[in-house]
Amino acid sequence: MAWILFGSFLALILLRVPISIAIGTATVLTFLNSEFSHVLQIIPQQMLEGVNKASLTAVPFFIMAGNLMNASGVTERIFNFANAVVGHMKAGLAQVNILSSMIFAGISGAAVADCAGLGAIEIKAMRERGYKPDFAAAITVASSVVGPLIPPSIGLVLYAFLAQQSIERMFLAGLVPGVLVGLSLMIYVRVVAQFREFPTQPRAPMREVAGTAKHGILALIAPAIILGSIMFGFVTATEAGVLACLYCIAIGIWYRELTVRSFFDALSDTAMMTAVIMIIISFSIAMGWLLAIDQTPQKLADVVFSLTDSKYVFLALLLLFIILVGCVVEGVPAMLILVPTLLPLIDAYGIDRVHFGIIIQLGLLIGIATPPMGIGLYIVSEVGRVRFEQVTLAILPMLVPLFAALLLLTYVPQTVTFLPDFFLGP
Amino acid sequence: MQRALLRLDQLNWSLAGAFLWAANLCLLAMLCLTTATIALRPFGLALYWMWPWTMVFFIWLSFFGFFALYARLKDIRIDFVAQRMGRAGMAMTRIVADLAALFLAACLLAQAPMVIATSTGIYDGAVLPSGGEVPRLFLSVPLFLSTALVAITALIDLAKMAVGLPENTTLPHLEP
Amino acid sequence: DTTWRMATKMPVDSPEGRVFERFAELTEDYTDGALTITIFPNEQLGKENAVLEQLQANIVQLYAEGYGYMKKWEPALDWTAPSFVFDDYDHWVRFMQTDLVQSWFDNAAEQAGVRMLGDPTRILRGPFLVTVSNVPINSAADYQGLKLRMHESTRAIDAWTALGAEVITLPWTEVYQSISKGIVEGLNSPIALVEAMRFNEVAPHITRIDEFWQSIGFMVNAQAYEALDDETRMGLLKAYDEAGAFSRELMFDVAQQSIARMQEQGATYSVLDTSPLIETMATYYQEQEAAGNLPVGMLDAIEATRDSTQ
Ligand code: NA
Ligand code: NA
Repeated sequence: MAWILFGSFLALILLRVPISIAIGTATVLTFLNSEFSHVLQIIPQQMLEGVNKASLTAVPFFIMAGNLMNASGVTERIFNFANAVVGHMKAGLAQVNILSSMIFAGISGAAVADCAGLGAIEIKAMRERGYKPDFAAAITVASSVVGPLIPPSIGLVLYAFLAQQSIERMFLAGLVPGVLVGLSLMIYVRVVAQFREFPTQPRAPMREVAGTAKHGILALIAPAIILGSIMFGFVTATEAGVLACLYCIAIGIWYRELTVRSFFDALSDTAMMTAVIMIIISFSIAMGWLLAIDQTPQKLADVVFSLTDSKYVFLALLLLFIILVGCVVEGVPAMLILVPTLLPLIDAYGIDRVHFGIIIQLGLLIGIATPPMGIGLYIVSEVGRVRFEQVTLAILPMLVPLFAALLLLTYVPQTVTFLPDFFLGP
Repeated sequence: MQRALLRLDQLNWSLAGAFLWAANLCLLAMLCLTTATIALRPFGLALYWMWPWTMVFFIWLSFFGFFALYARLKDIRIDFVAQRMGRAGMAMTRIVADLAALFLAACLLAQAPMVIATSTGIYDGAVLPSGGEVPRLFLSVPLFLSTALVAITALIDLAKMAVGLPENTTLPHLEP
Repeated sequence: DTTWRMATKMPVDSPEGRVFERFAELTEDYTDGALTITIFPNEQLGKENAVLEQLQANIVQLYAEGYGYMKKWEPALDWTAPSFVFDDYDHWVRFMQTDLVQSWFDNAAEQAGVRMLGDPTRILRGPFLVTVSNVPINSAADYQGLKLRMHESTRAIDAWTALGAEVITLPWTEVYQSISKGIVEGLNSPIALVEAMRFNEVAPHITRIDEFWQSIGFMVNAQAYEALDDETRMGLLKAYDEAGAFSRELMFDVAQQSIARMQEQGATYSVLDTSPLIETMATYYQEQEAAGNLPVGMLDAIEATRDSTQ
């Protein structure tokens, strides 16, 4: 059954079928090849189940926050501030690119908003200063990976729902890993700059740092407001997403950069991105029903247990598996199908569910930077006007720090669990 | 023939725009309802129908969006394999994509009578001004509507291909 | 040999989950393996409406959940547990056995092909209801203006508004946080769920209210049920009956232990005198009946089953 599902899905997307249609068709084909071929009404029924999920209402707002930042000039202020702080370092703009993504991540919940909005500014600036376009595009994609780790995050909202963990716990768990991934990329850039020539720029005078900080501060304190309001404040995750949107609208009006036109453009973009994600989710839930009633997770667990009883060997197999899936299946559907399937195994091997959530989130996120399903690669090749193949080649070495961070997070669980355990208790 | 098809295509494009706006309005309604919920809380005011209605708009947003994202080409498509295969590859994959959409839509639409017959009852808490609550059936209606229009979109594209017209691209060539 | 799929919302290791597991084992025993039951816990197959539709289509053969969800087929089934009208548990059971209530179930069966397995009051849920609050509830008057969390049921909201509470609807999963942030002051919950959801940490006052009694109905696809031979059906019903007795024992046991543990951690537990609430509701329900909002004959059936010896 799994072969029909993955096989047909992969074949369809490679044949230029839009992803929502591809996952829907793969789902129908799998149903037709199961003992439930006579009850296809389950599919539309479960599609409704899939979108009728209270916790997922946070999704559109964390997407919208990213789009509104791009529409209201906040993104540019973040970039200017990052530039004033780390622009003078070796390969300065590459460092700026990474730091900007980390700050942007504190408001936006989706990596695509980073690649498309922030990416456009970053790649343009790097090209103008003489960076090679493929390098500029590649570092943009690689750094966008921190976006959905640092809270807020759509992937973590989804995981919290699937694994029955609280959203605030997952958000807290993502913070340190997000920063670690960002740092690993910064170290990588620093090392590479030792061997390769990159354009440089003078250190910004304190006055300029202070000046950009004044404008950037509004964006810098937003993450604290969002995470804080969920943690200690008075709002649910969905409401926090709305607060983030209202905040971006207020900043946009304050700086007179948000127009009615750009607001509605951001609204449209959000509606479409949300619809894509939710349609994918709805078909995946139908698929998940079939996997559940077929008892696939139990069967898989039996097979894996016969392979190894060592937690560490299992973790290695798990990483390999997630990365392979992440390369061929987009993050949201991959998580929807994998998490319910793997959870029984995770519990059986005594792995913390919060820890596993971050492993699978980062593992699948790396997929946005790897072909053939690397969404990030497609977006930057479009906004940066670079050939897809070129970005793909340029990003290969950057996968090394990403994998290093993933290994660290996997085998040192405290990097993930310390913060949530500290604030929320174990 | 070509002109009639182009006209039809343009109509379909505009209709997708209408669905996009329906999705936008749902999103805006969610934003306003949640904002109101936050704003009213310090005053101890809580209207219990707000949350269920937010959910109804969320469902509608997703389902209205289905047609809009398909017809307006907002979905993700992987085309480097097709491009490798040259013109023949693009033509072949164009047919495959349309047929996949048609197959999916046909399978879903065939279930519509069954779903309509069995989704009785109401959506708890989503009260209507006229009294009563939103029937559960209304939740899936936009899904079937969108699915039918996806099928029509795929048919139009196949017809266009038959008379030698190029497929739509993400470039906003049809936008007013 | 037949295999049935049984859907539940509950995790395997919850008390209710253990009752279902016992039921599946007993069924296997008493039918000599002629009927095997596979349990799908944790809403794996979907939420209530979705599972009921699967039950209707004979994809799932058994659904162990509140039969109130069958209101989509027979709206009167929303009224098997009205608030504060029954003298005690036995009164409620007598009401449930009236021809009136049976006719509601029959109507649902006729429309959807889904019927009840045995006596629907057999398997207890809860086993009783409490208010969990961060302010003490010593008398019915303490509900006046209390910010009380409610699920999105118009009926429950109206009833508690009539009782004077300030009702706020929230998803179940957000209750803990909402109490700790003061968005609500309390909620009503089956006692079995209080400790599991750690509500006692933020709302240490636990008050037994017996607002109504709840049971888990075993809703069964009528076609699948009729396809069983007589012997298997007898075995199935025997297993159900025994699972009912087991549920009673287990649920009260678990509740006692849980209350003791929570008291150790600083919670208070008391039983509320609900007679003022029953009085308020009597007037309220009469108004509702006059307005035509209640199933015909319901209040009469409640009165007729009141124990006259009291
Ligand atoms: Na983020
Ligand atoms: Na970046």
